[in-house]
Amino acid sequence: MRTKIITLLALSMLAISCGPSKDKLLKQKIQGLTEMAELGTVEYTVRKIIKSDDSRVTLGDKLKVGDRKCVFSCFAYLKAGIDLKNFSADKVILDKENNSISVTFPKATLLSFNIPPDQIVEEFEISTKLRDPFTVEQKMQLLQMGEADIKADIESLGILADAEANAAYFFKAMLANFGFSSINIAFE
Amino acid sequence: MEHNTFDNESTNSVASFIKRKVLIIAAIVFGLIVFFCVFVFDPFHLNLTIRPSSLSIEKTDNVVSEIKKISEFTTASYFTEQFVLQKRYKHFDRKIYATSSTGSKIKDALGFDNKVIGTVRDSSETGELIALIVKCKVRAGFNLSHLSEEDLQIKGDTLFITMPKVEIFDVIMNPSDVEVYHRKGKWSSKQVLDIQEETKSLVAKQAEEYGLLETARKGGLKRIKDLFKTFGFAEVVLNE
Repeated sequence: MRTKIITLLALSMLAISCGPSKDKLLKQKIQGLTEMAELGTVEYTVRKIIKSDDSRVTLGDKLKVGDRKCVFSCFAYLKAGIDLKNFSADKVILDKENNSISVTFPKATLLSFNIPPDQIVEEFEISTKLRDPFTVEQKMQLLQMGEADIKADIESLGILADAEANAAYFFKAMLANFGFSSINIAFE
Repeated sequence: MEHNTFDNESTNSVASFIKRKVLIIAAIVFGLIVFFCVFVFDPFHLNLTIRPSSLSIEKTDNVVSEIKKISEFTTASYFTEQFVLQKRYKHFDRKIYATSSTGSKIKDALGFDNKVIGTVRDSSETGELIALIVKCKVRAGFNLSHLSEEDLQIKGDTLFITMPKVEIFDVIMNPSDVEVYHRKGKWSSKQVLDIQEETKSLVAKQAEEYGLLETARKGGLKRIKDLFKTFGFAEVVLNE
């Protein structure tokens, strides 16, 4: 009887320790915490189509060996704002008599760039004739190129100007609530 | 005499056989040299080569589909670099056979050995696996858009603020943060992206256990106090 109980207990321990069907081993290599002080004031959602046309040709571009095409779509979430890590009292000019305040914040920067994996969709893939299909490593490379392409375009999107405008609006509203009648916000 | 004639004929046929083989090998080698010269290395710039395909993407527009005003004060971030191993299993139903307490087989109703009393779902490794090295960042802080006028009160030179709860804003794992370190078997991009998404959830939990929210709260409260003091308040009292 005792043997039966022990066997049952051991089996149930084994059943619990087997876990779910997918075996995932997360080995921590590096980890750390950083304190910061970043005020994000605007978020842009950017939609991107990543296209690769990898047709191989020969004989002076007259003979096609085969086509290899792949299309992904993804969303990127960009947040911009001001970094207040080094902000100090010498950036603020107070005039209590005239109820005025002048604040100089640092220029807006891109604070976070996020392409969530669940928003990346492989829309199309084809490989014909003598071509091998894309490997998963090559597909990850294509996604990395798409990410770099979005990052290269950040300046032209206008996100930094919007971040500064929103930051100015946020602080003006708050300082008006504090009773200031003349508010000047600058960025440098 | 006949013997000598026979010897001469066999020697000649062996020689011609060897000669034929040598000619064939020479023709093959010559053909390979011509092929590599013309179609691969192209030393004479004939432009008949097979162009190697390098991986590239076409230039496409980055379309801004939404712009949102936010007021997220990020006060701490957690960073980790981890190794993720995913194995593939095949699932099957394993029969459970009845045995007596002495271990002997129990017969079924028809008198055959090993009465089956049930089945259980089991799995075994297929040998296919994928190993990723991933980097992940978790950002946390106070969402100041949750502050209303009632949350800010001024009494003389003292400012009272009722702060919102600290929360996680982003868990970031971009394509450039993922390296396929080793792969055995066929894995689709969707499967790799699903692994990334699951890893992100686990990392967010790790970040909380590591103290991200507590660090964001303590550091954030201090920063906010210092910020509002620069606006002329003698004292800033933060309520949570």
